Amino acid sequence: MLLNTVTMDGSLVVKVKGELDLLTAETFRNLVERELNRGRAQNLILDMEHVSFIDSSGLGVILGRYRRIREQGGTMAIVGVKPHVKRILELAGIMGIIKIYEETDQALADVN
Amino acid sequence: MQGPFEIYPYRSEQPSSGSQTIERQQLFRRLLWFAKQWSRPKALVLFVVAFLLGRAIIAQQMNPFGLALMAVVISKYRSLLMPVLIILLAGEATVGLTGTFWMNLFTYISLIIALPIIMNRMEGSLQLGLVSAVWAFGVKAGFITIVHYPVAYDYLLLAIEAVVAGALVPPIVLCLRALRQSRKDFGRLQEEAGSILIIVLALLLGLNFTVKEYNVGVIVSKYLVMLASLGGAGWGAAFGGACGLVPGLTHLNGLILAGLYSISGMLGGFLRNWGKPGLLLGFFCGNLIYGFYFSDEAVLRDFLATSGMAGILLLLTPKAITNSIAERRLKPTNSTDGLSCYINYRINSLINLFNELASGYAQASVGQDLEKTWEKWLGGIVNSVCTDCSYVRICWDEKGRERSYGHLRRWLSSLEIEGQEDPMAAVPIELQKRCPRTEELGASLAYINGIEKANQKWQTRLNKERKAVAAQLSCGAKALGAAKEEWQSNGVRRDRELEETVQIELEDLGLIPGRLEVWKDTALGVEAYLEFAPCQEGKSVCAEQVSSAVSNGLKQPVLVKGHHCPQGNSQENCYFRFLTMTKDSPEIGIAQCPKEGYPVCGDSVAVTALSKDRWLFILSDGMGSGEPAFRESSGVIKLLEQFLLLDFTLLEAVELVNGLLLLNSEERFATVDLAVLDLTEKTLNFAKIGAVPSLLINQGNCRVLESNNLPVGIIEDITVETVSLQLESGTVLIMVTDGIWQGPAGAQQEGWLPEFVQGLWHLSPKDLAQRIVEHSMIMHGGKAQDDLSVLVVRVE
Repeated sequence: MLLNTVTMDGSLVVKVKGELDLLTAETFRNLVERELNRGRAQNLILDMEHVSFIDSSGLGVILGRYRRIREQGGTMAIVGVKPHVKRILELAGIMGIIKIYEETDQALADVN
Repeated sequence: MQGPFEIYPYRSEQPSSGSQTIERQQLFRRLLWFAKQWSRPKALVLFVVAFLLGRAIIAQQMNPFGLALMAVVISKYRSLLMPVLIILLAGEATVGLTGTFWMNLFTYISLIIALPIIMNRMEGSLQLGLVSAVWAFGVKAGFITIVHYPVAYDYLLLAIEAVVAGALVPPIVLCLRALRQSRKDFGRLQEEAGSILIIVLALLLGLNFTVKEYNVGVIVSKYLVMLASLGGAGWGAAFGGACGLVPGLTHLNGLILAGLYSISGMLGGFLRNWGKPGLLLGFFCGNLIYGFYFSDEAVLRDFLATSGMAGILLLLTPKAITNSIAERRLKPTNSTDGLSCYINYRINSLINLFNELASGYAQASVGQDLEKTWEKWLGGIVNSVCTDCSYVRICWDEKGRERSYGHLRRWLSSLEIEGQEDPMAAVPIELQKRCPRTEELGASLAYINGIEKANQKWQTRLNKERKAVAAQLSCGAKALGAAKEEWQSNGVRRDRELEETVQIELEDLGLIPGRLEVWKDTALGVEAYLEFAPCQEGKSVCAEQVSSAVSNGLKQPVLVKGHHCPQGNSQENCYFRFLTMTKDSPEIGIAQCPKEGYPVCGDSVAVTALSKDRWLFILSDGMGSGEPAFRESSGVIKLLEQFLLLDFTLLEAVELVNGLLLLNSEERFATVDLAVLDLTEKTLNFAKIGAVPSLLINQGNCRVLESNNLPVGIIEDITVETVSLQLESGTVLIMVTDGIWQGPAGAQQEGWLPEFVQGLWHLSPKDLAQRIVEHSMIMHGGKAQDDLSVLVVRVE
């Protein structure tokens, strides 16, 4: 899994590439937490365009970050999800609480 | 009898190293097991009892005690049968190798062959006694008819022996059961005390031998009368009377001896408050009073000498034992009224306590009076900033106070609501015009604003948690109330006889439970709880063996309601909870496989009978894999199960579990796939909380059941959609976790399952569950990339 982070307009944008599962969830959690702890971002945008697989551990870290962002009064969004990953997010009820966008700009404009 | 519910942990079969080696190993293991069984302290006690009862021969030809003991051992202590038979015969042989010995040997062997066949379809100690008596009479009557020239009196003696033996079976069953279950409270009920008395009298008969001219039976009987006197004069007299009637203890007439023992026991009991010396004094007084009637000085001397030896034994008896006997009080059989009242009282107290606590927490969670908080803060500012200001009188006299407060409150409001970062940008114009210290005031207000924001955040969180605790306490009170009602109306009772039959089955397999309880519930049937010391074998290795033994013991198919294997963690015990199934119970199959590299599956499965006609099925997937995920999912399942068993609604139960998970600051989430089957209404209510779809198949028609709710433990205001479906006979429900549903990474084969089960729905749930896991494993390339769990239910 590859992770790339950038903070734009008070939002942390995390680009994820690869599989978000038990093996990679911890790395994802640590990196995002470290960035959020810097206090420069209130919102979180996950770019999952290149995520090929997600399991319950992956769902767990996404939901954990959602809880954190919500507690600090921010908004979380997901960008560019593949259909089969979208289906898993849908089954887990995540689409009911986190909005999914096609483009990062669109998400940035909306969360701000 | 094998229960239809099983867990199938995947493990590879070890290649065999030759059948002969295995047979030899099995034989060695079997012998080792027998040696272990026979050397246990309880078994040794039984052997001593067998020896003494073998010697307890009445009128030189009757041994009803041995016959009764053999019947009980054949029926309930099969693993100890051979040594007991040999020791019993050895005891009889010490009395004499007469024709009675050979007749008894023949009768015992015939009983060993016949009794298991006759008793196969019968149960209960009364039936056992009756069958043994009739069989023994028949065999012995046949024996003497062929071997001797019997007269009518011989047949009469045989009939008496058979009747007494039959009557002795229930007390022996009770006493040996208490020995097997190590019951410390045994003897408190009247029937138990009576059983002890009968066995003691029989053992005294067996002790009828002399050591250096003193009869051991006499010394022991006197010692026992003294012990009985500790319980009071009545006990002493009664026990003395009974012991005195044991034939052949002394040369005295039985009635004289009974009177002597009785009066000695009574006097000993009168003086028991003076401790052991007082008791001995009373006992010896009784001996002396009766001494007037002894014509033979030697008899009197012998009598007093044996009393003295018994007295020494009493003095040597530890105080703990004598105190325990002195404090023991008998209870009438099956009297639980006092206990009921006490438990009722205690439960009511707990309900009230829980309600009070809930109300306290609910009140504490009501929002604080903001007005008062602001006044407090503003008062502080005024004290620190305005006290030494020259305008203090103008601003804070009676006329100016209200106006100044108004300005400061407006200023603070604009900082609070509009989020002004620079306090000076929001200073009210009126204040700016006349206050020389607006900068100090602004700095203080900005500081307060920051603190207040943080305070409100924590207050909100605290209030939420208080509300959650209040709700949980209130539910706790409700649960206790429901439990009380259920307990009162259902008449749940412990069944010691079934406990014994289950224990026999387990012992036959070499499994010794540390704890075994069998409860009969008129609403739910029979429930068994077992605990074992942890083994090194690994998860669920013994599950099938234990299920089979319990099922055989209860004589009904059973369902594993709960099981926990600590897997080498020596601190924890392994436990099982079983529930008997009726013919209407749904057929269930479960298959699980942990993720490659993990010994434990992170998913948990629960099947619970909520009532006779309502069944609960839950499948939970803890986030992650291995032991932590298992702890998460099993914790959620246990809580949900308990709440639903206590008649909480599905939504209430889910909210409570959600609240509990939210209280924890760690990331704890779990999906829940839950279905409640109502066999009377033929309906299935299901709720999916972050869970993948389930399948419902009827006559080959497959329906996908799905719902998109968040897992529990994420947000406070959880919404759970429940769906109710009408079921037809033969419907099959298949619940799976995401490892099965979505297949391995990169496969993108979400729809494989409905297609796969289309042609297999007619298989038994057990086989179908196994086939699904097997196929999923193939898809995963033989190595599970996620935990795989399947629960299949067929409703007929």
